[in-house]
Amino acid sequence: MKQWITVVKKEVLDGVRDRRVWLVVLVTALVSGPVTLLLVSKFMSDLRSKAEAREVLVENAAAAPMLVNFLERQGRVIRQPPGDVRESIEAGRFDDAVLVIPDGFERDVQRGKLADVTILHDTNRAQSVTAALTLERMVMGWNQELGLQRMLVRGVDPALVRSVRTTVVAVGTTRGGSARLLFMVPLVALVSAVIGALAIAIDVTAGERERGSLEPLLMNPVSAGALVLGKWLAVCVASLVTLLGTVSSFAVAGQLVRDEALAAAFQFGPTEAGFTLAVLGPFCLFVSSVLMLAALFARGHKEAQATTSYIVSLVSIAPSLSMFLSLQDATWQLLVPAMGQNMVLSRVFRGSPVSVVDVLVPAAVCLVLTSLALFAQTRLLAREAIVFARS
Amino acid sequence: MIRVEGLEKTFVTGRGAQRAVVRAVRGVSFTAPDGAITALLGPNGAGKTTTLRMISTLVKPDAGSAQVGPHDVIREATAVRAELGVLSDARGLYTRLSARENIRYYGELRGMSGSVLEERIRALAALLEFEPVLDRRTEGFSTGEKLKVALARALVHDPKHVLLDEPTNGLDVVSARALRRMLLKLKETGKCLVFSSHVMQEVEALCERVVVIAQGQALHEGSIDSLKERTGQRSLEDAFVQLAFGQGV
Repeated sequence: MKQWITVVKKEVLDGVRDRRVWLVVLVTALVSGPVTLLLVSKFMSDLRSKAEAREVLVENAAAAPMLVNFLERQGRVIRQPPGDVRESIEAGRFDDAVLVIPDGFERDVQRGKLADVTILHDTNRAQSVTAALTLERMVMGWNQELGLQRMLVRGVDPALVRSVRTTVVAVGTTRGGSARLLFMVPLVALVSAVIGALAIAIDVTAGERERGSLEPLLMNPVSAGALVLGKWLAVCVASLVTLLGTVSSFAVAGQLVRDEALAAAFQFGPTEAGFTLAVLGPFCLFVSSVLMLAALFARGHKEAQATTSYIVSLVSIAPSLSMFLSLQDATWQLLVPAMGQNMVLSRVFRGSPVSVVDVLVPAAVCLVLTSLALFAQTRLLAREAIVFARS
Repeated sequence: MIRVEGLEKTFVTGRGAQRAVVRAVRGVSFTAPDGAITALLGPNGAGKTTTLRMISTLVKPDAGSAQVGPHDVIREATAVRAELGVLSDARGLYTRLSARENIRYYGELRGMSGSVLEERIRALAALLEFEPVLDRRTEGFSTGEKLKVALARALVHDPKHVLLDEPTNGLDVVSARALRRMLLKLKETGKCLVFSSHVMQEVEALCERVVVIAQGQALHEGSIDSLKERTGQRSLEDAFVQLAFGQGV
């Protein structure tokens, strides 16, 4: 039997018997997709149920009968806010916004004086911010209605104060709007490929050094190339299995979504899953080789966890960089592992055109870097400092 | 036969102000014949382990040469590794694999397979007396059990030449005796055995030939009697101490 096949068989068996590896694969692959989707689904349904409830919280509503009348004409139900709102906001327990009416508000409005109202909300909570904007829009609506009435009373044509008319037109790809939640798939899948490979990549390198099994292993008449190849393939198996599990769990979760709006925003079926696997497959090969290279410098599991944590962080951050830095899709991003894959998948999910080059360039970059990382490892295994230094 | 000629090795440790140059081996020469056990006798840090690592091709000598059978350790490293069975200082086992799977892995890496390999594993387990734990995962094995599995792993391909680096370290009396019996059996089959030790009693019980190494140099090579004669001492320990550390120790 080819020696590298012997190494793959041994490392896969060793990995399969390592509970840590399986726990990570199971938790990452099977839980991350559905849990993320579940959380998003809850967030969306909360937003919608609030919107459907059409309730507005008004403090001291009795001081603004005209405004309350306007809100009720918009189909809103006026409610008194529960307890001390400021306290609830400080405690992070408040997801709504409150319109606070001061005493004497109605009198000021009737006298034509500038009347103040306050809207309280929590800037850290998205639902609270949305509710505050809705409230502000409604108050402005009443403000406009009041203004028009005053102009009519004075015989002024309201058209005089309208010099601009705005029309908002949504321009985007056919899928863009409906598939806006798919952005999270490449982010979670990229990290899952790394997490799946991590434990076994450390075990086949730093683990060998720590337990003192590397030195006797190298005394066999086996080339360093065969050892590295066998170990790398075993790590790739773990990474690919985790990726497959993650993507499948997203696909299954996508099929099971009952919520119509969420199902529309998360159209992730077999085609999308297949594309995700094809784009991220070469990334798994790359990340397996790089994790092994980083871990080979470490003398034990603890040290390896520190050295590989940089890679885990980079893979988590790289795809989000384009989002935070508002980077536009650019060719150079295709050359950066994780960023390139994220860009291609984002384009696919948006329905933007993707060329063959867009898919092949990130794959080629991964394969070239993988070859370099594997070559470096075969050289390192000949170094006395690597073979004999143990923790 | 293993032939070592003027081996030298210098290590550089640390960086910057911590940098130190250690001359671990400075011209060690000896010959270990077939059908005999040759002991490398020396205090800690004498250079025994480095010498064994150079013979086993894992450390490249700065100067000198070594042959294992007809093969040169530098030019024919893979052939040397195929000829050698080595029980090194590092004896790590794969704890999630059984003793049998640990040994089988090395057997397969050396091109063995099928019934030949399985029969060899069974024979080694019987010879080294660890049959009851053969199919148990090695996690939680005693020091003696671990050593026996590591030794079986090193001998799975029935090598002509065997290197053992302080094999009885950490063993209880019963396990050490069993190991010594096994080494004598291997010797009877005509194998060339080299083992490093600083346990005089063990060396005296096992070896025909001793090579005394101290401060990286081979100070004596020959029979135990010739060493005693040279130093004028009656015990091997006294002879060794006089040669390795000088008169006053």
